Amino acid sequence: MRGVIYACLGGAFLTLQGAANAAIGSSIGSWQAAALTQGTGFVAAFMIVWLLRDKSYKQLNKVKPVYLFGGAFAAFILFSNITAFHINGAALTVSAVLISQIAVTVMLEKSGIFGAYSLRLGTKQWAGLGLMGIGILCLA
Amino acid sequence: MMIWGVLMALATGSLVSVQTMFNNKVNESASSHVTTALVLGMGFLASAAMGIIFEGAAFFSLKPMQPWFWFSGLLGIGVVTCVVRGVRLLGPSYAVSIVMASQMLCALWWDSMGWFGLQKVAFTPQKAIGALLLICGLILFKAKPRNAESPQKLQPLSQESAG
Repeated sequence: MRGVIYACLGGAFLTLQGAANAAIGSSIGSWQAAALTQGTGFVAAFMIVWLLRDKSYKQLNKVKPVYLFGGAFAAFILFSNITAFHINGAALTVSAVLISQIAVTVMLEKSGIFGAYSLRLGTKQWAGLGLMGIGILCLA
Repeated sequence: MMIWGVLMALATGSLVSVQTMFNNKVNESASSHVTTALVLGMGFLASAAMGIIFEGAAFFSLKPMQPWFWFSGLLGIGVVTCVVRGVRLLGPSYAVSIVMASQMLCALWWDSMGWFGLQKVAFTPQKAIGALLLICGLILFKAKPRNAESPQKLQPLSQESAG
């Protein structure tokens, strides 16, 4: 249940962030907005780690180095997203992004290349994914 | 050119997905706070680098800033921390489905209210159907598969219990 609440809050924050980035981007530029929001976010997150005396950063050397660069994807994500928006506009871009996001996530979890998950995909799960896809197309 | 735009959009979604998996791998060793700080720090460096590559010195030119811009980073903390914790507790596919549904439904709700400076968009029957399909799809996705002996169960991924 706690996971569901986190996931719902994550979605709400994403929408708020999208609106904020659009507003900031239109007054100072997209790259400046991305650098500003993530830079200030980093400073605040760093302060949280410091205030909580969270020492788990010492465990980062146990992580396979390539995984540490996940955050850097943000720049490529932003670039491809902006390009797609310019060509096709919001509706088609948003639906294509979300549908590919869920499709690739299911593929990656099912493939097991990122480890210990057990995802069972029966008829109901495929039907559920299909309905979500159609829902996204109707909403965008 | 349209197909090029669609390909870019598909690439965007795939990258978001891979990023989610990478962040979750970091979170298997470090706490969600440390993971969030790392993700945002990397995002900052990469975005600043791309900005300088594309715009050169113009990237640094001062533009009018409203005071609230400086606090926009807090939203990023909310996004990364909540998604990382959701993925750890629910597994990637289920967590991402809920995040997406919540994202779409919040956008629908706030758009139709015109909140947060969003352009007010009318709530149409098509959107009502979309929202309904999204929620039904999510419930169906979480339904027990017919041939499964046990419900979907996550193996413990981390020692960090409360996160």
